[in-house]
Amino acid sequence: MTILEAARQLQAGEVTSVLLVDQALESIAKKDGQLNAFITVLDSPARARAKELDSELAQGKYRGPLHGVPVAVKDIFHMKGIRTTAGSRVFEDLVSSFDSAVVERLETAGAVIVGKTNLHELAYGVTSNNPHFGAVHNPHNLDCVPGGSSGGSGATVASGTVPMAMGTDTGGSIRIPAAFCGTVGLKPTFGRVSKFGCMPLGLSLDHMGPLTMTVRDTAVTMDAIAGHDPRDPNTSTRPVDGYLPSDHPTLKGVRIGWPINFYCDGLDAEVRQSVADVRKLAESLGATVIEVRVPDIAALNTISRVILMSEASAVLERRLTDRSKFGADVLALLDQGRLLPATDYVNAQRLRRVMQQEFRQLFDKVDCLLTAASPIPAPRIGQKTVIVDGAEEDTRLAATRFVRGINALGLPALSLPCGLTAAGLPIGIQIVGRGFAEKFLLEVGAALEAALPA
Amino acid sequence: MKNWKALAEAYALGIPDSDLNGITTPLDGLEQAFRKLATSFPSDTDSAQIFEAWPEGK
Repeated sequence: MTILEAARQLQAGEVTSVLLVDQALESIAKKDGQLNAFITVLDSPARARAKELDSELAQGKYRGPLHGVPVAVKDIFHMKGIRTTAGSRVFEDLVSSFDSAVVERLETAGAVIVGKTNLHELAYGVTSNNPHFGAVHNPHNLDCVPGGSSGGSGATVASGTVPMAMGTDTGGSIRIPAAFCGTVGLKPTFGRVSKFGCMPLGLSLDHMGPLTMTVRDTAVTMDAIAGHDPRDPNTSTRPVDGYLPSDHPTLKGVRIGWPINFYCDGLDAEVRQSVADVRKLAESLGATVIEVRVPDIAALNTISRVILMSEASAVLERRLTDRSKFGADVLALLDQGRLLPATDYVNAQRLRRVMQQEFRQLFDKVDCLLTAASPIPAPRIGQKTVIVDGAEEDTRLAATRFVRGINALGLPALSLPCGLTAAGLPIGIQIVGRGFAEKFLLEVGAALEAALPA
Repeated sequence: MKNWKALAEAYALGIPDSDLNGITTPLDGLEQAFRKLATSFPSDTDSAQIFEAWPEGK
């Protein structure tokens, strides 16, 4: 059930929050033995909160579409009195003493948080094959990864347990699980959603956003979580748009940029076909598709990696006193970051400005870019390399190839499911927009979603 | 290419040799890709991150 359908039923008195929360908890109990999507399940607090929200509703107090709806958050958001592990042994006993801004806002909007989802260790990776809390499994094929780092969030939404789970995205960590699990995922503009109380990884690259089954559910979640927060100096004071798409979203007059470099290279054949089909669909819906050459994305990915490695190692260096508490892949990345000189970090931040300017010029010609979210469908758990278009590539680098650079630009990007491979694995497209153009992206996403085969 | 093992030792990072062996190849790749970029932009380019001495409204 979607958030908006649950909201309708709650308002009509057809269901109660207690019932919805019970169903979500039962679903976790039934499915999580296989999916391993949760690190902490909040049975009692969620049931108690649902009762309170039902009472409020009975008294005529309605908080909005999230009122009484069960949701989940990645186990990297602090939640007062609840353990926040970040999927790491370093924090396995850390009980939060405060709420993150995202948790605060979701609860103010009436959402009931039923659990905290499993993730790639420290949100630093794309498989969610967590060495401490176990691998998360893809509901479409249990032998495959759900993507990461917000893999538990993608898996639980795709399994139908909750209609929304919060993720974070530092180099694709919302959009990759959205693509691999067949959900919608939005990485908002940097500064649109407060990072306060979310454990940091890449200080200038971390973004918070929802994974949902529909574009409209992403929109109503954004209505709840977006906005200025004085506790996060990066947040913008720009007014927040009402994000819900119109009843009849259209692509008429929309200029969609279709990259003829980088994003058309090294794609799985089924992904290539599926994204080309979306291009045709967009044209049939009235969009003007303009072929464009995008700035050097390989360079942008390199810049982004230098920034991420430097920032992540700076954030976590103090924890490296006990190396046995880290998984091998994360430890290798942290060690690499410690060997990069400070001059490289500063120059990467300068190059980032150059790339931002180049992209702003591109957005003079088009309103958004349409690409595959990932060049590959979900790989198998433990698969270190993939063969893409005849070439062998590191799984992490392949999965992040189309999404990582967008974090360095801070631009909003929506991942939208657009089909399945013959093996039944989801394929996702990515729509990238101008800064703070989330409302526009969601309108475009809603128009495509309505026209794509269910 | 840089001698990553010597650098790690000089910085006293405490990275065991076995772990260093696994990261020199990716570091070489990143170094090769980044070194070309690091001299490719105007010398007066500012950082993407701007320091605010006195934030608006404070």
